[in-house]
Amino acid sequence: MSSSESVSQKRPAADDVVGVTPAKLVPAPPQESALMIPEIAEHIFRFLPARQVVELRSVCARWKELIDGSSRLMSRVWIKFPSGDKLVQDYRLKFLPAGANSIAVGSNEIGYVDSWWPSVGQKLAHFKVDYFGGNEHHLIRMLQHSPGLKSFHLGSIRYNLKEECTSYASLKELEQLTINSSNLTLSLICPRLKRVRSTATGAKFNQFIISVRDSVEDLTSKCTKDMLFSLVHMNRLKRLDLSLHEMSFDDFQQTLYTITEEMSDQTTIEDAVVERIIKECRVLKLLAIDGGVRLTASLLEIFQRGLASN
Amino acid sequence: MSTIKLETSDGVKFTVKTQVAKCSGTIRTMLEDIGINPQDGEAIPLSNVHSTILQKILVWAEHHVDDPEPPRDDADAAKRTDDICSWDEDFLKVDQRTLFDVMLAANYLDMKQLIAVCCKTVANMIKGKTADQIRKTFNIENDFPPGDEDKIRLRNQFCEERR
Repeated sequence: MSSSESVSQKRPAADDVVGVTPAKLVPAPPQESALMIPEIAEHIFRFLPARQVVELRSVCARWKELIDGSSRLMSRVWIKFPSGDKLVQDYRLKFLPAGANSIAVGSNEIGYVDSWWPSVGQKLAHFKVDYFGGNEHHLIRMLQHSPGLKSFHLGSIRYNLKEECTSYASLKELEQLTINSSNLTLSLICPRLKRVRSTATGAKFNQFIISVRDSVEDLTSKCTKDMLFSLVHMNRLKRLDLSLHEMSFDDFQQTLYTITEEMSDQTTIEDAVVERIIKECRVLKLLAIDGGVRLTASLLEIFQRGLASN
Repeated sequence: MSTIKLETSDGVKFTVKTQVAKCSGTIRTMLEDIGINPQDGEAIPLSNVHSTILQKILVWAEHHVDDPEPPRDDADAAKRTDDICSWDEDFLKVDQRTLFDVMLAANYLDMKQLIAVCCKTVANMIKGKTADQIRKTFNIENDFPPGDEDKIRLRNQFCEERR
């Protein structure tokens, strides 16, 4: 503790502080430690790795209450529901910290969703499911009750419905979507989606990609002919990573030529062709921009060859 | 040179450069929004700050008075704690009690940069320590009923760092 002497030695220059009566300086009376003030403690904890923040919950009851209740701190942590559990109301959810907004589910049975999920889903920002043990209807119900999702990761789904699932979920905040299922049959409306990682193919997925063409900037996807045609409509793409799917390299090349021809509008002047491609085909436009654009090397090469032969 | 008077909880009056005093968001608001006129010669009461602590804080404010506005902090990511400048490091080489009192006062005075540098300092004291070591370092009482601490530890395995 500082004595009044040591304090007055460190006194600022007279220019800065004038009119202090040193004799009056006495040590401050004890007050509650800053470590127990929620606002300050939370600020400190934000400088620590998430793993340690979780462990700090066992220091004292006040820290536990503070950390569990802080969505700011808990947003850096996945709450995991390991494989093999029944994801139902009365199991483990009661341990869900009040501030938790990120849930990672392994391989789970799914219980009756409507009764308990809404209270969890309402505050959810990040949701990861490796294997969903229900069907599309169940999953859509859960997503409908999770309107604040910012990221959603789906591994595979147990039951694909034979008939098309007509219901949809509107996820206005969703920015990142990962689908590791060959077959996306979910209808999602996500106007702010920026990043898509998907192994899905098929008409429905293409339809989906078209629906998010005005927001997606970063796409990792399987490449089919249909997908290549969809890409032409992507307006904001900055990063594209494609892997060929049931398509030979020749097919791929041929499809690109077809697209460039369609875009070129049969004109024969080389510069005009390039200019038109740049103007109308947004994906190709990326090739014309330096910096900040990363295309897989093979695609870049193909496009360059395609332009040269025009 | 424009100055204003500040009066601490223990009745000590400080005359401070207005520019230095304005490092405090609380004082800035009082002067600019509430319209307290420093020319009146009346001291602004800082009822939550003791003179010994205010004096220390004024030293910091004087040193940092010309600092540029910090960039807006970004959301959730764990932040660096290894970027404390050496002057601040020396400034905060004080006993725990003083450090915490400076934090409380900086919080009351709304001095974001000072709060941040104090928080980093304390975070560095916590980093890598076990719950037991932390309780010992900061003299925190383990107030869990017997057995509860183990239960909490058990639940930690269901938490995993995101990204």
